[in-house]
Amino acid sequence: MERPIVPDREPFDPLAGLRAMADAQRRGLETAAAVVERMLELSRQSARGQFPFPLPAEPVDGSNGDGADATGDPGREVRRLRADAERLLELLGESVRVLFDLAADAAEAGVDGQNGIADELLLGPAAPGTPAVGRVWLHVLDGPPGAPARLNATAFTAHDGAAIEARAASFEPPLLDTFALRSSQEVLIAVQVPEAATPGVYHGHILAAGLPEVGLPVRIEVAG
Amino acid sequence: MSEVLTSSVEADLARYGAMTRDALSLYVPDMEPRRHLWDLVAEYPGRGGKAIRPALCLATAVAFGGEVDEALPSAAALELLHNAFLVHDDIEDASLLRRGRPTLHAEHGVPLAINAGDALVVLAGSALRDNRRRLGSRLASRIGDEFDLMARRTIEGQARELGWRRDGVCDLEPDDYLDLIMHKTCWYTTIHPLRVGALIGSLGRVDLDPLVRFGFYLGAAFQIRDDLLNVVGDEAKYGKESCGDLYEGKRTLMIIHLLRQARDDDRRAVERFLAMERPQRTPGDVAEMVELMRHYGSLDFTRAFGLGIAEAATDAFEVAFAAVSDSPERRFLHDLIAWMLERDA
Repeated sequence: MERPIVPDREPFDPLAGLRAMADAQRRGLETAAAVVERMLELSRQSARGQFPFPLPAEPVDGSNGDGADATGDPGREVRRLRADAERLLELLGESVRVLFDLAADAAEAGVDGQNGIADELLLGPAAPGTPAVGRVWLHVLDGPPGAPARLNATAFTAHDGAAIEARAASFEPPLLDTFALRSSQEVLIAVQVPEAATPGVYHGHILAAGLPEVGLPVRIEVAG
Repeated sequence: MSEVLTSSVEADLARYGAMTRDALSLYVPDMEPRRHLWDLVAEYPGRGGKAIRPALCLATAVAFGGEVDEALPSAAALELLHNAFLVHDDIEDASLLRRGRPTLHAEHGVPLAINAGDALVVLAGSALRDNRRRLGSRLASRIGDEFDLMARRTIEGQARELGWRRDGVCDLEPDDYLDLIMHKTCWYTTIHPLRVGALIGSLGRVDLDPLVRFGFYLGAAFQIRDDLLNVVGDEAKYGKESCGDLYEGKRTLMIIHLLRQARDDDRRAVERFLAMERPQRTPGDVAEMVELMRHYGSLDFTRAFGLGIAEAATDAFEVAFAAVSDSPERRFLHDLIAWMLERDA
């Protein structure tokens, strides 16, 4: 039912004018609240339906809004089903608990600790006596919120058995105690190359205590 | 609002604006063709502006625990897209003035202006991709989704408004107006910068719904204020063509109120006015509409309606920022509410 808008000026009755103003003010608040709550509910419904975007309030493409074209185009429904299936596969692919993310220029490589497919984090070249540094991003995709994860490293070994001890690696922050579900955290990694280290390539891993599926291969180049 | 607070907010806005313009300039190529493209691209950002959007984004990011640098690419992307929208909107609306000077298409012609607007959209994408280096792919992807959603909402709102004007739609309610500006204005002016700032600052941990409420109330009250200034504001201060919305036939809250209140011949006069093309609307026609708005109390109704929403914005801020500890950025955001709702330019 159409709601009349109250005129804001009533001749010969100043109080009526004030009442009209108060009504307009209240109406502004109520109407705005209704609009924003409607939008939020629409977004929730869209999220439950796993659409990439919330649906528009009024279909703008001639469809009837339920995913099928008003003209009965069956191809549209097929396209929607395919999009939903792709989204489901994407969600299954996110089942690892933590994802390392190498922040190396634009060529970014995700490291999946569960299936062992991993790109290496490259540190160096660094001269003996200096640190080889780099950084990674960690993203918690699943798991108990707030679970702390302390980072540590294995020893780094070269092809000839030469080694850099695990304790040469340090992390900032060392303990990810604010790590929460769906959050991201940048971690700086530094490996102090010993003065006596021989030039060459050393391999090792970064691990996260409490997260057994996670491992990030690391390659350190020690300069001659 | 006191003069001290006003100058403090404006100083912060100027600081955030300068930071954003510096960041934004990195994405505008310093190369040929300057005269026909890149100089035009730099034109609107170079004219200044209030920088409300980047300021909201940057301050929110810091208030929620982040660093300004982390949010700068997102702020620059938003500002670039905002300028792209302005270029294209000015053409769609046949506007003559932008930030106190002739619109881009008025100075350089429609084809070059459209092309410059397209370039601004592309540059916004470049800025957005820089988030991957600073924030990692997951958060950057989330922000990218937010950006797409914001752009889509804005374009939907613009389509709806242009459609109303083309089809001569007059049977509208304040609810329709608010729904329109939720899409067309609020999402990209306030809601998106707040959401993205909070995502960056909290590393994706914050509930975004309270920010949607705060952003909408703030953006709606701001837009209503803007609509009023368009009719009763000082053109020199306001920087846009006085009564430009009326010349363009926009369905503002004042016009919607007038359409519902005007009787007989007056209503028919309003409908005739809205059915005209822009060039047909004379200063006399526009003055008649302003007089009718005054007569039927449409300006006072709009003021009061906006005031109700402004009060909701203040309450919604306290909810959205309840978990955020006191900081200069939080205080700036709080003070920005009053500044946005009491401004005259």
